Amino acid sequence: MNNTNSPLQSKDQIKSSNINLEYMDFIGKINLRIRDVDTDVLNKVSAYLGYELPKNSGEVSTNDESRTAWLGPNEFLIQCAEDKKDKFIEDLNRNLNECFYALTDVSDYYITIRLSGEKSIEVLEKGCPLNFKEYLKNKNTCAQSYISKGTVLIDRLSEDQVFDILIRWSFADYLWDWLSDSCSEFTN
Amino acid sequence: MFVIKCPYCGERDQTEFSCHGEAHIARPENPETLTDEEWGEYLFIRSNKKGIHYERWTHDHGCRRWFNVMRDTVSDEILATYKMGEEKPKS
Repeated sequence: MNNTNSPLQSKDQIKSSNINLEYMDFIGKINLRIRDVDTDVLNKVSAYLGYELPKNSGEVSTNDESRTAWLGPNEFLIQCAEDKKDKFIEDLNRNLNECFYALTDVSDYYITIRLSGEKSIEVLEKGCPLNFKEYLKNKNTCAQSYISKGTVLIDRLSEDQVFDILIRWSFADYLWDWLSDSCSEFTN
Repeated sequence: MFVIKCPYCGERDQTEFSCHGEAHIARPENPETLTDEEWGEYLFIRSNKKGIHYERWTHDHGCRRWFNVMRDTVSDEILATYKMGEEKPKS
């Protein structure tokens, strides 16, 4: 909220008994791409992060320090606190020295919007074609899809309905307006 | 709802996908030895089948991977989807 460069800084957050919409301050986001099924790289990254990387679509692995979402069979998104990001990149680059991989800092490429409250799925369903009975059912699951016209990654953080929506910087303003409009029928 | 099964993500709405034309067209190994006609044949001529057709698709709003689809062009029914590099299913 105190970041002067955010496209959402002038927006009003929504707080109500059944729906909340807030903008999350910058989070470190690192995109990792590897060769298909390169177990050597997977093992080295897992060893550093301290957990197994997600193997299938929709899986998220996490511990206190970082959170890794499955983006594709050879692509992952590692999220961490922004002040830890540079160290993560430096350490991973050192550990993967001889390997074939790409590590890209995409922290400023995506904006995180947090949607929470018991009406969250109803709001998402208005513009997202995902079947929520099948996808994003539990904590630590993710899905890539679109909401209205914006391509997003939706990450479920809790058994309660708490969703982090990652959207491209240039689409954030549009998606925020769309979401806050969709929330309006549930706010008291 | 028209649902397509991505080989990586599972069943998703068709609006997340796009089609990119016929699959299993191999690029000639030595293009410089081809005549203009042969090169034109490779670039532009497609089978345009009525019936079972093999196509390349991408899951644009999902995992963004390419995969192949076996589709009946008469009924528009998708009979199979399979990963790039896998053998095409028999029709």
